[in-house]
Amino acid sequence: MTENEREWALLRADPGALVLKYQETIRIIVRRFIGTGMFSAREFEDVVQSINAGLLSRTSSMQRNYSGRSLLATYVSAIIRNICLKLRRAAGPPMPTPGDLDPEEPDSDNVFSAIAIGETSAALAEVLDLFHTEKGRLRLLLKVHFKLPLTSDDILASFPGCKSRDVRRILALLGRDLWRRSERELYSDAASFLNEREGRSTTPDAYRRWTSEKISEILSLLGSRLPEARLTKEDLRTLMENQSIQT
Amino acid sequence: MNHLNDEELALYVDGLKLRRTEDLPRGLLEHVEGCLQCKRAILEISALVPTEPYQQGEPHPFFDSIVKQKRPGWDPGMSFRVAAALVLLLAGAAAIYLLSPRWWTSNVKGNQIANHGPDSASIRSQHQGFGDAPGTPLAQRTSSPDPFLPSPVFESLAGQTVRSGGMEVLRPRLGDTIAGPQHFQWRGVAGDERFRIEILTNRGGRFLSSAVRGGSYTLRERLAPGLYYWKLEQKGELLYVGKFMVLSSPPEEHGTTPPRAQ
Repeated sequence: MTENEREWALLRADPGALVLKYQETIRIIVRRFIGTGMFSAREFEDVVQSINAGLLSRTSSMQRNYSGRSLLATYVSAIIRNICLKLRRAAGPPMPTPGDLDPEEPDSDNVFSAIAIGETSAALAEVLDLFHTEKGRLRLLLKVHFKLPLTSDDILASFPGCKSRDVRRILALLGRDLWRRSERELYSDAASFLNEREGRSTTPDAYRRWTSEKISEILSLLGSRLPEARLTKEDLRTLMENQSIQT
Repeated sequence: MNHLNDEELALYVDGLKLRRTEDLPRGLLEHVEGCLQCKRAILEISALVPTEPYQQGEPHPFFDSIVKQKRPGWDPGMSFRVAAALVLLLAGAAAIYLLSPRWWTSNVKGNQIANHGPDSASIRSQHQGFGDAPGTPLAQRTSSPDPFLPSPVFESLAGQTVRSGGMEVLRPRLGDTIAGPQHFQWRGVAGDERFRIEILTNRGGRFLSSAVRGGSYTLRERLAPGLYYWKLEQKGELLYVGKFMVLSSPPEEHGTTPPRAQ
């Protein structure tokens, strides 16, 4: 029996025991929300108790609705998030008190000092994964936008099955010295490659506008994933560059 | 617009953490691609989930039940190379057969006579029973699951009456050993006379689930040796968890071992 199956059996047989088992997880989540400013530090115990009460009152619906497709730990985290959002909406914004953990003002020269760059790269990978069919095009255009040279890994990760001669052709155009070239030229080359791959006739300018919109969306989503980070467009460029170095 | 429910959000998060988003249901992927609210919810949950469940290496209930058509790193060119290799192998085997019939009949057929396979006694000894007898020292136990090992989940609940108010379980008593048909009996439960009784193996597998009227139920099915738990419920509410053992099977009628739920 897997750990997930054991927990599911506990949800069915003794949901109270399951809530007890999740106490440490609940406390970690509440501390995380305090770090983002959703709650103040002095609300910690109250929020933990409210979450316990909320989970216990939802056990019947959890038993009914949980079908075992996801991990129960993830499902319970989703429920806890809902409870916290409701608590915050009902109570209004938190009152800061002395001794609250105030997030440091981000140092513009070293924004990653508080957050491990590995965690931020992982967060970016998760955000890009949400774009499904657009992911291949997005990854490529982000590098073009930030004038980061493409590699064969980039092209094959974005378009698996791309023929070797096509890879060589696009690398000849966008594989080096992008910093010397204008944005207009770069988007023109990217557009001809993407239109050929995707059977479209989108203009370079339309791809540029689309990329700018997606960059705003990505930064907003990174804010959901890492609320304490407050990343900028320049940070995103650094992350993309860092991913290039690692691959 | 209908957004993802909590379990769908959780499934997507699992997909992100396990880097298996390409295996998510298409409807889920398409909705999230176009829904900023669900994207945000997924990422907020992703920031909260503990990492331990993903590091335990246990199979995921959804992603590891999918039969993947394509393996990572598989490309269409690989299919042609594998097919070509198989054709060459078959051609080589056919050539050997056609060119050396005497070698084939004298060597292969001879081996078939010599290696007649394991005898029935060794097969019976490998498959009889489902684990080690109780009390077998740890060092001597086989790798088969022990049917007498107490369940960490049910052991803490066994013998407890969840609802107070005079309920009494008459039989079997906690930890009784039973053989043959068993009568389950209880009394003192207020309200509706409709119950549900479930019999579970020590691994949580459900052997039996039956609606019951009144205060008793007779189990006629034969059980394989092992430790079992039984649950009594009324209107979906757990009333009692009991425990009993079966040490030996009743005399076999057709030479077969009684079934045991997985």
